[in-house]
Amino acid sequence: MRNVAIIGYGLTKFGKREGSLRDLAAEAGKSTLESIPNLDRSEIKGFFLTTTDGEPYVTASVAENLGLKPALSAKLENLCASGGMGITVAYGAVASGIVDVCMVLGVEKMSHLKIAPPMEWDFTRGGIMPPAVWGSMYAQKHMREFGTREEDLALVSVKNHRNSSMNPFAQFQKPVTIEEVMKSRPIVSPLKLYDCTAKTDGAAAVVLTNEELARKYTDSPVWITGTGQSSLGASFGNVNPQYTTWPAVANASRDAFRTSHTTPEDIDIAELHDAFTINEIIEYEDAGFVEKGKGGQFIREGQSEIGGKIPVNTNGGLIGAGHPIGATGVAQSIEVVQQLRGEAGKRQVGSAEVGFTLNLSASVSTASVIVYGRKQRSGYS
Amino acid sequence: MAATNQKDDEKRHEHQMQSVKRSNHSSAEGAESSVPESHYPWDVPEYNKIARFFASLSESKIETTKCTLCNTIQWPPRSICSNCLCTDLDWIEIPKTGTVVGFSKAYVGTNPGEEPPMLVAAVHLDGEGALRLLTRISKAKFEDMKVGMKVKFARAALVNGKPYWEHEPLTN
Repeated sequence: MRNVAIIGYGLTKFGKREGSLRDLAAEAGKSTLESIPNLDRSEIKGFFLTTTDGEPYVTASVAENLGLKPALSAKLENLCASGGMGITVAYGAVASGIVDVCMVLGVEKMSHLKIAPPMEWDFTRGGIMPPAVWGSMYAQKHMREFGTREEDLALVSVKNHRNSSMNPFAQFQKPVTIEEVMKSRPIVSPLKLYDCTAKTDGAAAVVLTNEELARKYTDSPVWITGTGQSSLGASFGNVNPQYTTWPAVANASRDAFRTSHTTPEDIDIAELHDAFTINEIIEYEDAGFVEKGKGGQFIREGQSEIGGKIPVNTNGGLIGAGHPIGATGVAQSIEVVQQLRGEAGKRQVGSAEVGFTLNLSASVSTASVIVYGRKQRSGYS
Repeated sequence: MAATNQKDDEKRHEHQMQSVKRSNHSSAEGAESSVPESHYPWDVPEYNKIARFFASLSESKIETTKCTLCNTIQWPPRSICSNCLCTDLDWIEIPKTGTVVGFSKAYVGTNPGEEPPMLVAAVHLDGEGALRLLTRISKAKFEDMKVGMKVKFARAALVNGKPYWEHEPLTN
């Protein structure tokens, strides 16, 4: 097993976009290839497309558009966690030596869909399919048990919109006030419009290689130092019986900290999966950044702001930057790479050494966590 | 061989037509059908070993499967026991009463003809299996709802090919 680094990235502007899924993939792929001028396309031997799009053979079609001829390629899909999971799989392929250079390209075209993504398999929801329904159930119980307030949820949205206003690739470019969030139209109480993500078109890609080759392509590789993933089911009725604690998040975080030889105290920046504002609050807790029940206090005290103890969702998160399902986890990784390299512009957190991403699926049934470092991990465990 | 194929093709065509009819029907109603249709019909036994789940919903019953070997209840219903992998399963009705653990007014996700907001709840069912589900609440106002209140099954149906069910307050 060899150490693995991210050596380049590229993404499209997120939002309602003209063009097809292939057009968006081409845009992000081109920008990624341009970010690594020393890389010849023929060296890309692994290519994974992460998307919930159902079209057969779309991976080969996208690779063909970009002039790639990979030895190993596949579409990887795990609903909203597709991107994080795809990078984890690519990490395995590069660490093991199956391929030396691998691109992961996440893409989604959603603006034309009435509701996305479809989730027909979850019969336990009794046909009540909007994800905001489970979000509201989790939120209410957290508010009841730990005194988390509706205003705390709103503060997550305010922070993430402020961050996205400094991210030129984000879907939402304007900050919002706490009053605007509190007065926004109800979706599923207590969740309101600004507590939720929107439909987003977009694509994002990264390229991974091993420790022997990384410096050939970049002076500032960002190392993947640990990974963890946990899939505990698919249906609302079969996961998270406590509602306010999410075992998949705790499992994946624990494994990522263990494999990266880090602890939550080492993390300088985290991208969490704020499908709803309540998610970010519960994730502060289950990832291990704060004690159970203290998530509301963490946002209230500004600890997850840029300049706080652990800046969270500096790119704007899913709520501010957008949530193009298959591209979301890849965009989270890109934000960590930018922050660790000092390339995050107005939203740069200062000097960051260690980063963390958490990508989730369907009523928090799957979690995928990656830990990143500016320094290569010593030895392989 | 050729005859079988032709027969199969006819059947497939029939199913396709059914499916087309169904989608025409829902679009005629101006349906914001929140869930697109399956690429094959889930309520036809030939295509789905749990087709009975859908048939029962049409008769206003919520059924699921129970393993004849280890007695584990599967929820949602399956063709295999997730505990012991036995495929010999019985159909049972899920328990009719339970406890509200969360409730809300949902302004999204309503079916065609349903006026938002709908009153929805997460319910933990009584009895064996400790089954959990989301449901619509009828015969109650949002203001009447309480966490911990008991509810009972009211009715079930298949709406545009999707499961649909309601619970109502249990009053003794």
